[in-house]
Amino acid sequence: MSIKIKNLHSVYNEGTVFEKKALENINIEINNGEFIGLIGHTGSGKSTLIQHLNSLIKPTEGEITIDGININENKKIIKESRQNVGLVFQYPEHQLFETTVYEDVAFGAKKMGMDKNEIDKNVRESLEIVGIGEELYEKSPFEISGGQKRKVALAGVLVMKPKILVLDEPTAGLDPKSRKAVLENIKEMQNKLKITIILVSHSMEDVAKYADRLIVMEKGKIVYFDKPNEVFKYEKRLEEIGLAIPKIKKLINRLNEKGYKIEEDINNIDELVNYLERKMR
Amino acid sequence: MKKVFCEKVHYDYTYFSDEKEKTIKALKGVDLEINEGEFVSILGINGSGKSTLAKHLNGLYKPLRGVVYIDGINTSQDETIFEVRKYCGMIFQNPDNQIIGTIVEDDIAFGLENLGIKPSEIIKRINKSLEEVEMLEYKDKQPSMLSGGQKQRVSIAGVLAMEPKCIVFDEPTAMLDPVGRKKIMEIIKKLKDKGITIVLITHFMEEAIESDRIIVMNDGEVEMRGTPVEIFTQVEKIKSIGLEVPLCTEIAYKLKKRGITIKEDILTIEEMVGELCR
Amino acid sequence: MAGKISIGQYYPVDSKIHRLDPRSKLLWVLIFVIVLFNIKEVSSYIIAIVSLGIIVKTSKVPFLLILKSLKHILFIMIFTAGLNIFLTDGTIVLFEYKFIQITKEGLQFASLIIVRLIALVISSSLLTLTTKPMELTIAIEKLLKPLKIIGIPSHDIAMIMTIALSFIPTLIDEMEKIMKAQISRGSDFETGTLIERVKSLLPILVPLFVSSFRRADDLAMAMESRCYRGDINRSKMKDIKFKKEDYIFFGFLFLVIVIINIV
Repeated sequence: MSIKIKNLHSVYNEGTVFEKKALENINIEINNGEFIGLIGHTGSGKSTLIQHLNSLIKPTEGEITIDGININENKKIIKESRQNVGLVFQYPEHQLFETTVYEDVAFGAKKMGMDKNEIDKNVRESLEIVGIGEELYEKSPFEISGGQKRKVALAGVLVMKPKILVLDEPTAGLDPKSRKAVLENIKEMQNKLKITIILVSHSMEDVAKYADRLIVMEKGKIVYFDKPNEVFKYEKRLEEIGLAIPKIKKLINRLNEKGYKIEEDINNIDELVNYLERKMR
Repeated sequence: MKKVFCEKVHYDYTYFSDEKEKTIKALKGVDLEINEGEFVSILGINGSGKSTLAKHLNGLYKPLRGVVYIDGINTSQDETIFEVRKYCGMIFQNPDNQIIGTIVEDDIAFGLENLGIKPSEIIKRINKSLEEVEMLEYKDKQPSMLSGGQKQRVSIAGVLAMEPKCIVFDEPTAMLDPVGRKKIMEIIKKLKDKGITIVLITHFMEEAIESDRIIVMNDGEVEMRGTPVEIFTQVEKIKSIGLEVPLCTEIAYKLKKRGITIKEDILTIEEMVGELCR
Repeated sequence: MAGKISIGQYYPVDSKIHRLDPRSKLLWVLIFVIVLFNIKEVSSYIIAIVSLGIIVKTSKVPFLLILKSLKHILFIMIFTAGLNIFLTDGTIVLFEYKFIQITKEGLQFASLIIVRLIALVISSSLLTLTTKPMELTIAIEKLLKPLKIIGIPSHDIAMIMTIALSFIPTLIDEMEKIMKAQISRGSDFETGTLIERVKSLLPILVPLFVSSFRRADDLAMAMESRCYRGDINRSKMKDIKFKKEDYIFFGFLFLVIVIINIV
């Protein structure tokens, strides 16, 4: 599914002394099946933006269309679009509440009015995608490990079969090993389910490897919206915003400043090692 | 002087699952020695026991077997536990769950009031410690209005005001964004320069690089000990534990493996650029 | 940080009322409420309201801000007023339609109730508007201290209040987050029968409880690590003292009560 955001403005507490512009003139078009990294630090408006995609916040001005349909048209469409756009919040494990893992995952499917067989099928499928085995189905979601909780919560969104999956900092608080596992899992999911992914993060390092395009936000505005390698050209400007380009890019830039001629589209460590090996032999 | 000293520390968690009592051995005989004024990082993945160990260092947990001495005091003795806690302060992961008080200065006062310090001295110390973490202008603000990083700085001020000789940071940056994280690391380094012993629990290797010594925990045991260079140059081992090594250390390691002559003890981008552009 | 609610709603200006010992203000609210519910004459009400007006004026808190606090109890006000208008029996009937009957007594009684409620809310919100939450807890701790002999733990009560006050904003934030997460999963809090709506609260309340327990655990550990051990050998940064203004304030109150009793 494709997303089109046109002239979106969002103002909190309009007309009071606490009035605050959260989003200003946002224009974005995201194609079906794209992997988008949405980057900015706390207060940049990224959180506000993704909540608009689920009508949790309504635009003060402007319009959001998904496959050509205005998502805020009426109540019925809002409900449908909430099914189409799966929103995984930060620390999603904090929303678990049912007595068993299975029931918790099924919650969203039930609410969407799916029938019993469909619910069962979807629950099993989504738990399989995130890597939760059948032996945990009947466990309480409160007695499994932290990493497993997060997976279950993610499955609880996947169960609605969203066409667009929005994840807010899915790796927050995880160690490097689990961080990598979660990101790989998301990428795999995208390939398998052919869905659009919007991954919110404050780390370019994590997102760069997976995203087709990056949206960089600052103070409610979009600063860059381009392919990762294009965005990384603006190292100085990004640093001013409080964002760092991936370390490998930084190293390449420093070396090129000293007279190396490393191609800018090198993204991973092995390519760089190959290059340096040729150079130093 | 060995001010923090753990010997053969064991600790278990018991919990109920499926109506049966189960035990997790969180620490399996940990030895640890930290000198006065040292900055030591304890690295490990989630569940490696690093947080459990940290909570032993100011007597929140008491060893099941083995002993922990802080400034020469056995933490298992109830009578002297407050001496231990006065010597060794602690900062926790979640900035929301350690601030007590409706405004910032009340939180800093909390620890001082517990020590029975007189009001005029409390006010002096509040100003001094907030100054130290650059939060003085927020003295009258509500904690809920602050960002995560700012809250964490308030927590540090709250501990600092009690004038501890040692501060244990239990994953203080895990819930912060990069800007907040950087600021906290700056403060930690500043405190180290002032002579305070720092124990930093983390799984971010960028943070551990800054320390004098690193202890790597894995499955309740100390797996490795050494300086950052000694630890991170063991690329394969670190990766097998599930941790990361600095990018440049890995590049140097891979080049070396292919028979290129290159210095191995490279941690930072600057060092790498220096080595390659000689 | 949108729509942050500030709890305690302290209004930071300097006024004679702000400077009063919080204990005085607390006692005043208590006395005022007792008086309010014991007087019946219209003239007594006028005097009580005038005295309240004087205190509001002295506090320098904008009247509009105080009126705002009435918004929260609008429903209760309308409900009780309605109840009293329709259910009070009386002799002078003003309006009658089938079984509905409005009497003069009913109207009188309803307006009395409303005046009481308004005065009650204004006085208590004036207390929180002019007193920092922390001072209020100190006041409660000190007022309860004599009851320690009969086993009432005044320090613990005050500490519980302090913690509650500092965690309300965090919990409101958290609730908002959980609500949004469940709405995204298809929860609907706006439609359905009453039972359905109550049931739909479960996905919010359970996670909220779980997280509150987790926070409580964390907080207990943080407090312990900062040498907390109840009120043993504990000092206080802020103390409250009875001053000249407080005696004047009580003099004023005494005068009001005397006048009410005379007329």
